[in-house]
Amino acid sequence: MRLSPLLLLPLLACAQSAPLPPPVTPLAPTEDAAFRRSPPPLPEGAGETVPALGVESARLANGLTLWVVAQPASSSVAFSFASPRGGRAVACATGELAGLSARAVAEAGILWREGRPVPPPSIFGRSVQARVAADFARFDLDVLTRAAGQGFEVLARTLRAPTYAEEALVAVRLAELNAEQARLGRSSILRYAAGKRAVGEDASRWLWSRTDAVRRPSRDDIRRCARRFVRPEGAALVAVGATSLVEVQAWAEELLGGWGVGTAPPEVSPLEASWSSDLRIQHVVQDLGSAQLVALQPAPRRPSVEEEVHFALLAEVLAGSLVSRLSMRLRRMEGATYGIRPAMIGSAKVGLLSFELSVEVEDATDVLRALRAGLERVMEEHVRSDELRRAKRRLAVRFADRDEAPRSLAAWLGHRFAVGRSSEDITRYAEALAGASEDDLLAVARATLRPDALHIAVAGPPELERRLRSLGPVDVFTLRRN
Amino acid sequence: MLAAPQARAQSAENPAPPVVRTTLANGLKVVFAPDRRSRHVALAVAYAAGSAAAPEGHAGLPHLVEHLSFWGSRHLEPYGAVRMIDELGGSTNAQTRSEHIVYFATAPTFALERLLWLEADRMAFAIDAIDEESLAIERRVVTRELDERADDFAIELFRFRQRALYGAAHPFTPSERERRNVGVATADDARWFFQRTHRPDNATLVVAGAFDVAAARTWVERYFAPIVSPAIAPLTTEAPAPALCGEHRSRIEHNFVVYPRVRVAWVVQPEGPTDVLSLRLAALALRQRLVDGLVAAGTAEWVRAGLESHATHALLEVEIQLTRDADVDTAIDQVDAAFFDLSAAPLAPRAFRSLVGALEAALEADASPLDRSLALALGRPDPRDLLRELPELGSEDVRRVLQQSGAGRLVQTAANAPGVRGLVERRRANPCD
Repeated sequence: MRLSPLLLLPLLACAQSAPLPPPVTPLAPTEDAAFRRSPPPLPEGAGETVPALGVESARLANGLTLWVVAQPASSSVAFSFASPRGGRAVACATGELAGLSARAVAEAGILWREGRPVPPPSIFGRSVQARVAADFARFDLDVLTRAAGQGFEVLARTLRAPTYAEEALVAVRLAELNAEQARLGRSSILRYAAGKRAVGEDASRWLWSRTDAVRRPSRDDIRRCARRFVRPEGAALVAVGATSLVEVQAWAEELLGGWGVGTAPPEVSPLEASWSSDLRIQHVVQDLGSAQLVALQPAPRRPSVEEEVHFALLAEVLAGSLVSRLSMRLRRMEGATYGIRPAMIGSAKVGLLSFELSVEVEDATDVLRALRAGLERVMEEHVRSDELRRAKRRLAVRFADRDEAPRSLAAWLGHRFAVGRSSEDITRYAEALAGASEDDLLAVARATLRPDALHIAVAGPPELERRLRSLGPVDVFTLRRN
Repeated sequence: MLAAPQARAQSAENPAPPVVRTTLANGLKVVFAPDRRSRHVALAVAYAAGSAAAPEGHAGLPHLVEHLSFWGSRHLEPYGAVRMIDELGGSTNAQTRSEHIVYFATAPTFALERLLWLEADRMAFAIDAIDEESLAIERRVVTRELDERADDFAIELFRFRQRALYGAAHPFTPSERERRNVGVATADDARWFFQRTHRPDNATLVVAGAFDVAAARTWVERYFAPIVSPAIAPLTTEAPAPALCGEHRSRIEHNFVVYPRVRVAWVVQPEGPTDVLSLRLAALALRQRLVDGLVAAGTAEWVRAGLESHATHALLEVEIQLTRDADVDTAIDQVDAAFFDLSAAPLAPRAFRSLVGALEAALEADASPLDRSLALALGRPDPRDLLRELPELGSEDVRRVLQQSGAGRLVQTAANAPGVRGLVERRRANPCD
C-alpha cells in the first residue's frame, strides 16, 4: 500500500521535538575566584595505607579452625563456615550436584534440640546462605548482635544435622533450577562459554542442559555429596563483629566440638586453565543491535599474598574505574562503550581475569584489538607512578570498606581460608599493598598475562561473525528457546 | 542446651549524633549526618529534576546532561572529578532517577574538603564543558547504556508497570523515543536543561559518615554559598500520584519467559516515619505469608515485597516468581488472602517481634554513609531516625496502614507465550473509564 504524502504530514509533525529556548547568558553566573582554580591540598601521604587486619585463631580437636575478628561497636555478628572442598575437589559427579547439595543443607530443614526436625530457622529475617564453587564451599549467616548466640546455634545445627527432608527437597530443587535460570543472563552465558573453553571443557553444553543434573540426583546422592564438603577437618568457622574468640570458642566447643571426623573424601585435581592456543572466539548469535564482549585472561594460580595484591593492583590500573587505562581509551576518547568491567572469576586455583563490555557491532574487533594492545603494554613497560598510587588508594579503601561490614569481611576471610591462606597471611595484605612497586606489577604482568591467547565470547547478530574471523577462529552458537 | 547469652545490651554511646539541617542564602539545602562508626564520608547532591522533568519531545535529555556533567568544567579537564576522587581511593557516580538527578561519592574522611570543592565546581561551572565534542561522545555512551538495558527483562517489566500504573503520558513512564531523542539533542538543549536544574535553589547537599560538622560547615559556606543560580526559573518534576480506582490488570507475554511472574502494587500515602515503618513492616509480613503459602508449597520460587517512595505517593509492592506450571490466579488469590488477613487482625506478638527484628536488620544495612546520604538527599526518612522510632511501632500500625491502602491496585502478570517475539501487553479495560 502506498501512503499519500498528505497522510504522512501529521506523523512527521509528531516525530519532531519542539525546540527548546536557548540558554540564558551568562552561562555560568557565579563569580570565579582564586580558590576555585585548583582543588584544596590533601594531607601528606594520606590514604595510601590501610591498618593490618588482626585475626585471632584457635582450633578444635576435630580439626575445625576458628577465626575471629572482634569489632565491639558493630551492630551485627557475621559467621561463615568455609571448606576448601568445592564441587570439583570432592568428586560430587557434577558441579550442579554440589550446588544442589549445599542448598539442601541450608534450606531443606534441620534437627533442632532434642532431635526435633524443623524447617530452616530464620533469625530476624536472616537465614543460612550456601555458596559452592569448584574448590570451595561456604555457609554464611549474619545476625543482629543481640542474637549472636542464636545465630551460632542455627549455623552449627545446620552444618551438623541437615535433614534433607524429601518434601523440602522439591522446593530446594526448584530454587536451584531458578538459580540456573537466573544465570541465563547474557553476561553469564558469555562468561560461562569463555570460561568453559578456557579450562578445556565443552562450551556447547548450554545451561539448560544442566537442569537434568539438578532434577535427577536422589536424596542419598545429595547427602553423600554434602558430607564430602560439610565436615570439620580442614574447614574454618569465621566470626566477625561484636563478639570475641573466647565467646566463639565456648559456643564452638559446645555445639561443634563433638562433630565427628569421617572417612576422608577422594582428592581430585583442581581445574586448570589452558593458554597454549591462539586467540579463540565463541560467537553466541543473538538478535541484538549491539555486541556484548567477555574476554578472559589468566590470573596467578596459587599466588602468594604479595602476588595476589600485585595482580589486583594491575587489574585496577587496567580497568578498575572510569579513569583507568582501558576505560579512558574506550569510553572517554571514543565513546565506544558505557564501561569496561574487570572481575576475578573462578577461584584462586583456576585464576581468571574477565573484562566485560558492550559495544556497537562495527566497533567490536577494534575494541578487542585495543584490549589486546592494552594488555601487551603493561607487559612491556612499567605502569606510571601516579597510576600505581591511585590503584593503591582504591584498593586500600576497598579493604577498609570490606573490613567495616562484618558480613563482607567474614565472607572474604572464609574464602581466603578456603584457598589456603593462614591467619598470619591475612595480616600481610596491608603490608603487601604498602610495599607494591612498579617493578612488582611489571613482573606479575609478564608472569601471568597472555594477550596472544585471549579467550573471548561475544553475543551479537549473525553479521558479527565475519568481522570476528579477522581476529581468529570463531565457534558459532545459536540460543534457541521454545 | 546452649549456654551462650541470648541477648545483649546495646552500647551506651550514641555513635550517630543528631542530623544538622540548614539552608544557605542561595537556597541550597544542606544536611550533615555524622556517624562515628565509619572511617569514611559520603557526599550526595540531589537536583530536584530527573527524567520526569524532560520537556515534551526531549525524553533522555536529563540522563544525557548527567553524563555531560562529568566532562569537567572551567577549571577541570574531562573526567577530572572522577580522576581526583579515584586518586583519593574513593568512588563516584550519578543516577538519573524519575524525580532527581543525584551525584554521589564516597572517600576517606581526609578527602571531604576536596569532595565539596569538586561538587561546587560541578554546580557552578560544569556547564562550560558542554560542547560539540563532549556531546558527540556522550550521545554514543548513553546510547550504549540504553542498549545494555534494552535486553533486560526486569527493566522491560518495569516499563510496562509504569505505563499501566501511570498511563502513557505520565512523566514517570519511560518514553519509547528516548534513544532517538538522545541522538538529536543539541549542546544548547543540554545547556538550557543544566541551567534550569543544576543550581543551588534546586538542590540538596548531604554529608554523611565520619567527619567534623564544624569543619564541614565552614567548607560548605566557602565553596557553595557564593554560587548564583542562572536568571531563569528552576525546572522541577511535576508528577501526580496515580489515581487507581479499582483493580487494573496487565498481562505480559513473551517467548523468553519461562517462569510466570505476578506483581501486585498498591498506591499508598505515608504520612511521616511511623507510616513508612508500618508499610515496610507490612511488606515484610506480606512476604512472610506468601513465602509460607507459596514457596513452601513449591508453587513459587521467590517472593519480594517492599515500599517504593516518591514525592507525592509511595507504592507497596509484592512480586512473585512462580514455578513453571503454577497458576497465576491462585497466586493472586493468596496475595488477596494475605492482605485481607493482615488488614483484619493485628499480628500475633511473636510474629510481630520477629518482623521488627528483620526490619531492624534491614534498616541497619540502609544506614551506611552512602545509603544514608542518598536517602536524605532524595527527601526520604533518615534510616537512623527510623531505627530510633522502631521500638515505638505497634502491631496495630500495620493493620491501620493496610486498611488505608486498599482503594486501587495494579496486578501485572508475565507468562510464556510460544511464538511471541518481544513483550506483548494485554490489558483489561480500565475500571475508572
